[in-house]
Amino acid sequence: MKQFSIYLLFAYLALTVQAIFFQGIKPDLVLVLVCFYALRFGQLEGIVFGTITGMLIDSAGGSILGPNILGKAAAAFLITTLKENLFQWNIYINTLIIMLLSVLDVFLTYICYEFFSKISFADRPLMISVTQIFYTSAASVILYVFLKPGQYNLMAKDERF
Amino acid sequence: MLKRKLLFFALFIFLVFGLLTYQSINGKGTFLDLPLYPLRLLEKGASGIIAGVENFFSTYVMITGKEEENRNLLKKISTLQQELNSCREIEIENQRLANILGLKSVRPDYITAAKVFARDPTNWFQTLWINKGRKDGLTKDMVAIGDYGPVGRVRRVNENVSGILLITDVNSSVAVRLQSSRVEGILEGRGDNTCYLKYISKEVEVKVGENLITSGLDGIYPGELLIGHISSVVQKEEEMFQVIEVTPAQYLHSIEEVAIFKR
Repeated sequence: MKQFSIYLLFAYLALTVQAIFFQGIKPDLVLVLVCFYALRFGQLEGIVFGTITGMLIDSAGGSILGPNILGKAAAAFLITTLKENLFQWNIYINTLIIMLLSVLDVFLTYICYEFFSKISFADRPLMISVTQIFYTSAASVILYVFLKPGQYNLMAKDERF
Repeated sequence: MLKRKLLFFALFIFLVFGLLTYQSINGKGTFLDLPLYPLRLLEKGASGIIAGVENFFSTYVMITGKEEENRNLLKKISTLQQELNSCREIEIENQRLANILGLKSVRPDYITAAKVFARDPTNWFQTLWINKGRKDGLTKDMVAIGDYGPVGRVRRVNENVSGILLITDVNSSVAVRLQSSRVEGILEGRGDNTCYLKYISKEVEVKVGENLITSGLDGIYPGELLIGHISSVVQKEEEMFQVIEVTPAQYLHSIEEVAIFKR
């Protein structure tokens, strides 16, 4: 619970940084946090953290509740599944997977808005998403150095399911 | 084990899709304002700290690091420089506020001036958060105007803060007209720092650099306000109308204050 609260505070800080320091295109720091949390504390915990932070982002956006819940929870589910099936985990693999999950997150969010809201992002330049994915990957490299999520073994958590 | 996990996740996805469908049928989203209070507090606090640090750097740090032997001689100058710098900052701020408040005397629909303290944390929406809310008389769909033109309209109103939907947001539509030809169109946001001018027939001659003004026909934005300039015009064979890009008159990435007007 203590760790969860700390990571939730990090998520609030990440959203504050994104809202204040980035005036143009922003990285998705919360996605990186969700991935690292899932790697460190397990799949179920990661999905719960992803759901709560996704709910927070959707509420801040003010459109519909769900797109970011789905994106972040899917990221937590997939990154832990991949970690369990890979022999090694290092900064390169971590960055590559977060980059792919960032693509998936953008895609899922886009699909949800297109199908379930009256908003269409069809005219939105693709460069916004491409730059966001690049920034998110760069942020994951920096945060990896501090949080070192690859050092934790998830096998012990499997009994929870 | 994997099957169980997949089943659990499939159930989770099913629940989220259920929530999305419910909102889609209802026609409106479900917002949770309570978890956003800490975020707004953090944003306001961080915004204040940044302003303080900027002020500190512009008035103090810039003048330190002088050589020891010149310190006494420069002390008086540096004090004056600090004062001058502060005066300049105040003068610039006064000028900005005077421009905004100047509107009050000529426009009876003026409500209040507000300070911008945060933006949307994601790349999906183009919104600003201002430090005025319901208790200052703000209601939904009031218009926010900056030094150089319209910024957006009030989209979410809380007790002390409000969210402004910028004209560059994909949800934003503004009724506009070309200043020279008086042809009307719709200005729609692209999701970055520019907009599209839509529904302009290919027969209409549109020049790059031409001014675009609000027409007032949408019932939200007041008419005759400069809203942007044409930045590119493309005529595609497969398109029925011209593809026109517009740069907003107000640079929206660095806006600090806005004036709020009634519909």
